[in-house]
Amino acid sequence: MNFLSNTNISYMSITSFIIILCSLFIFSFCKKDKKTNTEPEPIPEGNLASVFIEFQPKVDTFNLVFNKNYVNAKGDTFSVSKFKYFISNIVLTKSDNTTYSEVESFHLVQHTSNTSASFTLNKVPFATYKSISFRLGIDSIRNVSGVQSGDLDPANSSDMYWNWSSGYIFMKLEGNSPKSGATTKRYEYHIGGYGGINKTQRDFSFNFGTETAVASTTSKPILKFKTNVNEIFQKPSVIDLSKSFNILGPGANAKMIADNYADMISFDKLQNN
Amino acid sequence: MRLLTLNIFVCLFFLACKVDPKINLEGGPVAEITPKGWPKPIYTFSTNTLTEAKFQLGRALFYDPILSLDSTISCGSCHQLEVAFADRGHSLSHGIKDSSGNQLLGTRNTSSLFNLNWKPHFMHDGGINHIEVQPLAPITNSVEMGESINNVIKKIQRSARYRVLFGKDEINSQNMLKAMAQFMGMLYSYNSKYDKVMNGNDKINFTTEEQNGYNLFMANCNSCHKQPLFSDFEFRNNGLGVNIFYKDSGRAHITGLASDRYKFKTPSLRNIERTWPYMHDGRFETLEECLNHYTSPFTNLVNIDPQLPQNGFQFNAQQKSNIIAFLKTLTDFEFINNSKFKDPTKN
Repeated sequence: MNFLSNTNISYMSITSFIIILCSLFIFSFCKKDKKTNTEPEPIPEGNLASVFIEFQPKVDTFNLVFNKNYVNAKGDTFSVSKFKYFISNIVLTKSDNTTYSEVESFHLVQHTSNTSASFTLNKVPFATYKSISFRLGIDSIRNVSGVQSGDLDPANSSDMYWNWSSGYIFMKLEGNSPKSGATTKRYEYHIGGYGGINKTQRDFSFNFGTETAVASTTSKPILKFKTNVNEIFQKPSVIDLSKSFNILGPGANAKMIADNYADMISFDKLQNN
Repeated sequence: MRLLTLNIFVCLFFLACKVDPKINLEGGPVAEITPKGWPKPIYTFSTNTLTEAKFQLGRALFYDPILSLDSTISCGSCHQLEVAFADRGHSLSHGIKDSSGNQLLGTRNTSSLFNLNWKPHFMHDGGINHIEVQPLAPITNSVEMGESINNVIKKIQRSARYRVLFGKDEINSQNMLKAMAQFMGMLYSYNSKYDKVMNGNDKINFTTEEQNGYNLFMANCNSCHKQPLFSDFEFRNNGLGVNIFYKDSGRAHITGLASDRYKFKTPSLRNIERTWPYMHDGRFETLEECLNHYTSPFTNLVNIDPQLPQNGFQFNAQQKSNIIAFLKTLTDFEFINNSKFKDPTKN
């Protein structure tokens, strides 16, 4: 039983110690390698604030009420029964001109009657922000990369994805109009198209003017926007509901609507709470 | 003692750096490969790591009528292994039942399924752009499975069988569709007589008839039905004319372009002997009828493919029979008899 002698025990202990150290090193190496491959640079949790983003649907100066009659630029009466759209690629610019880009930045804004729709950016680094930009629609790459998660999960946004012609519906507006060319007097705009000349993503960018949004331990800013449905009918193309009542796929008509909704969102105000 | 420590060290090493799951497929499906002489596949499982468990989950889902509204139709109902996942004898796809108990019919012939990882798009009109979202189309089509993806997920979440098959993964649409992509993506067909001749394997040769047919095929058909996949995946009008019942505009249904009217994707000719009826609306039952179409003068000329000779291809009866003899060498018996692709609930 030689190995019970003192010298051997100390030899074994040293060997074991070295081996355990090596193992720990291998563990830490593998973990680190994985993290850098799949996740962005972590920001300490303590230095993150939430920013609340709110969209109020409007018809010009009035809050949109579903199934209530309004008049569009053509002079036609219309109502709204469904209104939703994707907001993506949110970038906040700090007062020093550096930026924060939200990771996995995809939000389905679903309006219901007379109420705003909102979502929260949960990981905004502490800073003072002077402007925001975002996209209405979803980048081409997410339309061609197979099944997605979160708000892009086809189960979560089942009526905002074309199952028969792959791609997301970026904006959906449905309602009624006595002028509609459809026998049902309904109109339906399902607008999408992720690439080519008829792509329908539109970018928005807003300065907060003299104000700034302060993200800190004590301040969680609220950014409020207005989304004017009537813009969809008026500029640059005045929409005639007797002719354009069913636009249900990508193409020139969808692009016409997208050019119209390119200015439907405006910055309203911000609050630092 | 020293050995024990060494063992622990080795174990720790393997635990720390997980073995690449791709090599854990022993006893499972064929491993991910690119057959000799083929282009690189488009879908490589790079964001959907192949595992035996996920392949088996996808296989279970493929054969489960739980995906349909009335639990009568699975993917396998219209995609049958014995006929290279086409729909034996059915000119049009058939789906869930209507209120009188009749099965609803679609407007197109069920496509065969194999070598899907090489396809840039799916369906006769190319409307689907990725293998992972392909099942959404038949699941939600009102004359096929007539179901919603949300409801499918709810039904699967209630199923004890699927709680086991999903393992530690959440039962949601990503994990469901990625598993189905593993099963569908692994349906490789590359062991036909044609492949063996081309690879110089086992000293297998074409017969004289097959060789003549191959030569005629290469001279006349290969520009669209391009070997080794036997499709160029382009959209073409092969002069069939519009089916008066369905008035199917084909590719134009997706692009909205008048120049795409009546164009359909060039189908692969692999396993063609098995995948009848033929054409996008299943109008021909035999290969002879198909060849007779191509050897007759073309009369439906709107957007007709410019490569087609207006008076038809000039093949005599013997040449036609040689071409058909060659086409039959494209049947992959190892594929259509592969038990790993069978319905796991039926043995």
